[in-house]
Amino acid sequence: MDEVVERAKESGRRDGPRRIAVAGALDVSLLEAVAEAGRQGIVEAHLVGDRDKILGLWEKLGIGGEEPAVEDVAGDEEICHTVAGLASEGAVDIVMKGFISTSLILRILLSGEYGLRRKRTVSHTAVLGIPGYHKLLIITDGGVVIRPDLEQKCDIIENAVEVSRALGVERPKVVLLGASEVVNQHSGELMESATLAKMCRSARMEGAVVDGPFSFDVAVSRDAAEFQGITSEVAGDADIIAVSSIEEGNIISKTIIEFAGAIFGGLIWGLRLPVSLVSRSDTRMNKMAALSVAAVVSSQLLHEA
Amino acid sequence: MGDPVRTFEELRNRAQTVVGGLGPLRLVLVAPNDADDLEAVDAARRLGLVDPVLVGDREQAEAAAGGLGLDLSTTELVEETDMRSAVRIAVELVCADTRAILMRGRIPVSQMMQVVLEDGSRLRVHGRLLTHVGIFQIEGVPRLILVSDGGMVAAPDLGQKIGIIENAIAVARALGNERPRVALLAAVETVYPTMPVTMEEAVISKMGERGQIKGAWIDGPLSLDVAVSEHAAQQKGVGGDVAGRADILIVSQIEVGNGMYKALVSFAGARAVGLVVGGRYPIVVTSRSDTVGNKIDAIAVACLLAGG
Repeated sequence: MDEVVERAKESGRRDGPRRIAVAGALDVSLLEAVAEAGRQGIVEAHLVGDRDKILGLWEKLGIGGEEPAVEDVAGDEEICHTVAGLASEGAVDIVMKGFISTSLILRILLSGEYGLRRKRTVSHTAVLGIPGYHKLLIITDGGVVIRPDLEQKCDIIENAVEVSRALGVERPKVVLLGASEVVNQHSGELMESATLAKMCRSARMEGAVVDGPFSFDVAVSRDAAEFQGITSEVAGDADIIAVSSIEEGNIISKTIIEFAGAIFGGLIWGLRLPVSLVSRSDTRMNKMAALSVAAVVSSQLLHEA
Repeated sequence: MGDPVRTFEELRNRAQTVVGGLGPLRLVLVAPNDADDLEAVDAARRLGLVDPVLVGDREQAEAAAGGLGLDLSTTELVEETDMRSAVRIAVELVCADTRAILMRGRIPVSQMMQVVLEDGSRLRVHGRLLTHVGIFQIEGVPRLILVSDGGMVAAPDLGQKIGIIENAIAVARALGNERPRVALLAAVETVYPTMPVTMEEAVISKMGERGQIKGAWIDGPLSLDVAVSEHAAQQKGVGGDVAGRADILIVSQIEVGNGMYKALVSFAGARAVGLVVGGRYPIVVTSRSDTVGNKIDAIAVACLLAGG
């Protein structure tokens, strides 16, 4: 994940800091992370919310430096509308969901009036830096789509592939997660993964390689793959793990974050600009990582445009 | 019951103390052709925990033992090369004893369970579900964490989920935790009509509150961080008897439990064992990532579950 922060600094030097609208900025470690990312030239923050309270907290924390730009808006719904307006006008490159309801901000960002929807399915990717894994790992979708059907699952994978490529992976390797490698006609999940793996081999998923169902250890460990006698370039070397329910993605990601000391950045993808997600209990380091991930992919979008 | 067991070291000691007073349990290992399995069973025998009998192919068992320099000539072995028959014989042998454990050797779980679950199987208890429980010792966590069901019931309905919870509570109690804290895991800690899992978990929480599921504190939906971390629970303002202090984590899909098990072992260096419980006797179901040490731990847990 350090590499992502470095890359974000590099993008900042090249393209200028990414302009980020922060909804719900009344959070100690979020403000600290925003200030730090600002000092490093990664982002330029537009905070949206109660100006007095936000600046009061900024002062109290003794962050110093230049006072951030704060758009004085009261009420969560109004904050979301203001942020969506900024995004729609092209005044910002990234939206950050701070301490505000995810479903509220998504509903407003995706409402027709702002024209921010780019893809049919909007999904969540958790970008994880895990000690002991040789690269970043994306788990999707543990945040937006509750129980994707086959078509949505394809869209979710496509979104994650875009994120992974924007983070510098040329040909992302996607694992469809299952509880087993043996396709069993009594398990809908395993059947679906097998169908999906076939579908994804067709033209649709160009630039990525998709395989499964594999269980988690086969996805991330060559030894486990070998033990199971699996030969696939994806096994043991996954860039992306696609799951079949919001619970599966959320709980497995949090298990890794909580117990394996992973650093992560959450991203919602499928809008005209990336939406970065942090939760109140995330550490400052996590919030910094989330900002960096968003800045890197946003810079990449700029170059593709 | 004493204090709850917090580590596998304590657990082995507890098992040795309890079993020591009563004599070793019968352990039936089916398909005994894996060297690690044989080594673990032999170690458990030397600890005084079990009196093993092997059921399977003698030639293969001897080949596996030979590599370890282990002599099987004094170990009871029932020769049976057909795997289905071997499982049937193993079940009969286990059920012939009052204190016994069944252990899976090198045979696919699905193949073994087909026989164990077949109608009239003496291992089943009427009205009780056979479920998988994973037990984890994780660095920095001052208690053992139980996860269920990541191995047996693929997509449990409400009734099956209650069975899964009851079995996990029984395991926690056998490990000395008189009133475990059960977290019903979801992606969030609020109830949403669009998320069926959260609604089902709200129902189960209420059932727990009304004493319809006994011997535990039960709460959900809870996200994983809120369930296990006091810091996260506090930050997110979630109170109750379970948040931040969960001993048992209940998941709603086999993929979740299975993924957690493997993520904990792969990335968090967790020490883990897996068992199938809810039958007349516990079944030790080791996983491909298990070391000999894990397997000895699993046998020790099974000893405590089988009543010492």
